[in-house]
Amino acid sequence: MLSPIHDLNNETMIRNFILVFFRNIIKSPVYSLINILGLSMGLACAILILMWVTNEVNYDKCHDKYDHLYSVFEIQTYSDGVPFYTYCTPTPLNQFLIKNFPEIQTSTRIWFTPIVIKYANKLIKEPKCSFADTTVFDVLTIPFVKGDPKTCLKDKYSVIMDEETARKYFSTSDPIGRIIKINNTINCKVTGVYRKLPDNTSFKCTCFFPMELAPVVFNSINLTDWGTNFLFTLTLLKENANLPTLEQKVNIIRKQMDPQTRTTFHFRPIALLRLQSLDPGQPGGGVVVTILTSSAIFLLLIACINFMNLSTARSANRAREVGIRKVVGTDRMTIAGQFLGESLIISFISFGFSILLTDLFLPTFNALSRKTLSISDWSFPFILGLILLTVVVGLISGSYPALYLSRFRPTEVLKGTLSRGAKSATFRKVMVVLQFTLTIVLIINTTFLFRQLIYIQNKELGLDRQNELYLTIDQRMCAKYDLLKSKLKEIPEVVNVTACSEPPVSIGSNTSGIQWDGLDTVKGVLFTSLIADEEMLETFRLQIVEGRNFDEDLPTDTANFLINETAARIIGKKPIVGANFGVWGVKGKIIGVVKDFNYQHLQNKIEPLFIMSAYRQYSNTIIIRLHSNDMDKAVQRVQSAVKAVYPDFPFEKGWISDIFEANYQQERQIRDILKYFTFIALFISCLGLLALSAYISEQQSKAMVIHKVHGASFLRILVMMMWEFGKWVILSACIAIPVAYYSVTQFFRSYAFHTPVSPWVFLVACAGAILIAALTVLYQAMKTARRNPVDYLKYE
Amino acid sequence: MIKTTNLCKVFRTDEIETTALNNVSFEVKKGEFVAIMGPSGCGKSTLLNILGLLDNPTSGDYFFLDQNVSPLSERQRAKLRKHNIGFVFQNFNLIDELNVFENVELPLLYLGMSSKERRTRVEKVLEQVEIGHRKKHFPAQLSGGQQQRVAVARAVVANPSLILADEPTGNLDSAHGEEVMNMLTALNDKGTTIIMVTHNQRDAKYSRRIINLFDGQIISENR
Repeated sequence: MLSPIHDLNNETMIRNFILVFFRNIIKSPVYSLINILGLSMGLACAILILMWVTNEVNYDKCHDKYDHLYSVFEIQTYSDGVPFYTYCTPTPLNQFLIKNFPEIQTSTRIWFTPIVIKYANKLIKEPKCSFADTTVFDVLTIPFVKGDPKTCLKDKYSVIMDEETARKYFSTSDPIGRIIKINNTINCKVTGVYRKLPDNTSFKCTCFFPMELAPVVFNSINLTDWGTNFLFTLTLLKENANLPTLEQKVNIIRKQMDPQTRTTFHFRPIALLRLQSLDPGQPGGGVVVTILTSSAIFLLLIACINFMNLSTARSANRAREVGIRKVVGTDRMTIAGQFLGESLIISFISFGFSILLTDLFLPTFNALSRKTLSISDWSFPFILGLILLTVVVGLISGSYPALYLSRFRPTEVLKGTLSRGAKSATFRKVMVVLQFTLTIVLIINTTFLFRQLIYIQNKELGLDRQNELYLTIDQRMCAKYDLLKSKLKEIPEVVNVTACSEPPVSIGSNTSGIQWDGLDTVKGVLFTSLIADEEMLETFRLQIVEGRNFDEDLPTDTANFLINETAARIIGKKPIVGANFGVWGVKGKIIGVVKDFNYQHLQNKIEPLFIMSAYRQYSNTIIIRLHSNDMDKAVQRVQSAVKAVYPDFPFEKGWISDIFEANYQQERQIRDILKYFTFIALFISCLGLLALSAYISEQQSKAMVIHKVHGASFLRILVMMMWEFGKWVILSACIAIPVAYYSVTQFFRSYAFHTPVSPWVFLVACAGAILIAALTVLYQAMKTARRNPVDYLKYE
Repeated sequence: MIKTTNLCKVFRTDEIETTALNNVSFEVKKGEFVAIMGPSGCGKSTLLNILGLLDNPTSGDYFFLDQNVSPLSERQRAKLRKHNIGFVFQNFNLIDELNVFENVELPLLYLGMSSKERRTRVEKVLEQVEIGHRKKHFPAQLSGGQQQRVAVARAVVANPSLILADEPTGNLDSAHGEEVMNMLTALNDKGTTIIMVTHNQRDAKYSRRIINLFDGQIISENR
């Protein structure tokens, strides 16, 4: 006797199922298109996010020793008790680790910095070069094309470049042995060329210089000072290394060397570098992965729900077929398998279209995400994963329809006593509610992200960042700063010129080496540091609330300090102006208090800050405030003035406002991607609602006609039809609000400053979704309300 | 061939209990042509569904081909049904997405026959009901009478020992109805057992025995 399993596997049966399936597709092209379109869009979005997530998760996996690579980080604790986490490690740490701890196979220091390179007539500022120990090639996988990794950086005045950079300077000639000049001072010989590193590595750079060269190029760098923390230490641990024991030993020995130390050292797998913030209280890149992955899952679910809803609503069209198949001898499992198979076919057809959509959307997605993702990068496991995803989508979408349709009893369907779609009504309502809940949650979250970025743009930061041009300089150029300043001041469009260690919209330097009378130096306090000339306050329109600004005519001011209000509160002296203050061996007085201003990402609260005036030695940036109707012309004049003073300096400029914007690149990325996703989610939901409303309106025609016959007006029937769907969307909104509130507040937990979580935003977002849903069903509702009872009754 | 003993069927919802069949006992011998008659709602179609193994009785026994089929599972009933029973319905119940040939072929697909044998059988049956020239057409392209002929062809293609017809002429005019009844009579002459539900006296005259149902009970039998 034949078993149902045999039926299913029977080639002829499968051909019959496929034949019926395709004829059904042709018979109902609109519904088929809606199903395929919805699934295709959902899958395309999921594929894009998967590509992005794969790129993020595979960060640094290009290094062969990935599993044993650890970055060293510090936890610094001060009198306020709040730990400060940083990857900036002291220059002597590397040798200390290698010498004292056999668990460490090897270790390297790396420091990234821009370098100006001159060769022949080319003068280019390379934005990301690195200084590293010779052990870097034992730690990282740098694929060499020319040169020997064992010897290429042995000589202090050597350099290796990636292929693209080498081609830039030397075209097709052999770069080995060529001499380049760096920062217009030092000659280096090219001793090696390596293949360009992939985009998804934290250690990508265009050149490597030996670490021993760093103090020569930058005379403020000391490679033996435990107080100089600025570079990255990367270690390769042995297989049997016990991490907690190693950390304990390191910190015990450090404490013995320096009992006053407030810093402990720890090891962190390289896998966490990209996705997890060092500070447990701060979100890392993993937050973005979570947000975007969740959005992609939402979209896919919405598309699957559409499929389920439409399949079950239109089930009456397949009821007779199910009845007959059961009558002629098949069983429920076989029929369920048939419909599941149809769902899988649609899923795979949608998968095909989704690849086309992915290819179409990829350039836009790459622009939004600032990546260079490509379909040609798909690995075999990735493709397998996509196929598995397609199968899962097909199974999820087809599960309920298969179960539902296969349950039809021949005794009901063949006599025509089955109410069309009635039995699945509850399921459909639940699915519509779920669909719109997900969509409204997306809408609310995206709205708040938009509002957060508007808030950031408009927030009063306490400083003015408009129309300010900045030039990055090196310390050699500080010596001619006064000459440059006087030349710039001759330009009518130039309002202010100032020199700083960092632009005040993004200050990263800090120190604990400060002193004032009464400070507990054992516990200490971490202050942000800024070095600037007397015109900095005016350039950025910073306000003095007590005391005065630096005076260039007072030589003693080179040893005096400005502090911000937060620092003044922490120091706690009254009067604060005139109090003793010192740092880095410089002892002076506090001459003024600057009103607090936001100098970092708005995720961070305002920390204590001091400003000192040693700009002639330590400035890295010149900032020029311009006032002109023709900025291009103004910039050209600035360029001419700079060239006159620094002929060997590649004029690479930027705008302070761009630095500020760059701080929020991640937020803009999420916002832009979510914006598209939300639109697509709304589109798919409305598409499904449109098709469903058309079908349900048809089913409800009889009931509405009877209402009309008994005196119901057009408006009343219209309201009845609209309410039939509207009530479920309103319910969705009620469920979505607390869910969205939770996700929004979780996101804003990491921001010290954020837009208010106002209730009206929730209400407007919900009202918008309800209105769009209402407009979607309006046409069908009007069609039903307008129906002539006579036409319907004649048809019956 | 068929024997029922005190067959009962009760339909229950949360509030209402309806007894569709109440202790129905009767026998049908092989080769008989039996008509089941009665007013609307008397339980004719319910009885036919049970006889066709499409439904289970609430109580009582049903013996089909000397086997008590009451306790059988759905899968077992399906297996028994596909080898032994053909159905003809009032509203034809052809699958719109399949053409005439494919509709008639459908029962044979579930019997695991080879493609060649299926084609031979289907074409023979289509010729018998005189619809072979429309084998590539779809149901929507046929008249009611033609559709019913296709339904009859589907019912007989697997050579079942029993045909159940539920108001086979209900949706047909008298001429086409007569055609269908003649086909059923011819099948019965060849030895196929036929049980037909009808409320049409003229159609009932084609049968050799009439069972009258009223309120779920057999009230009389005529020969």
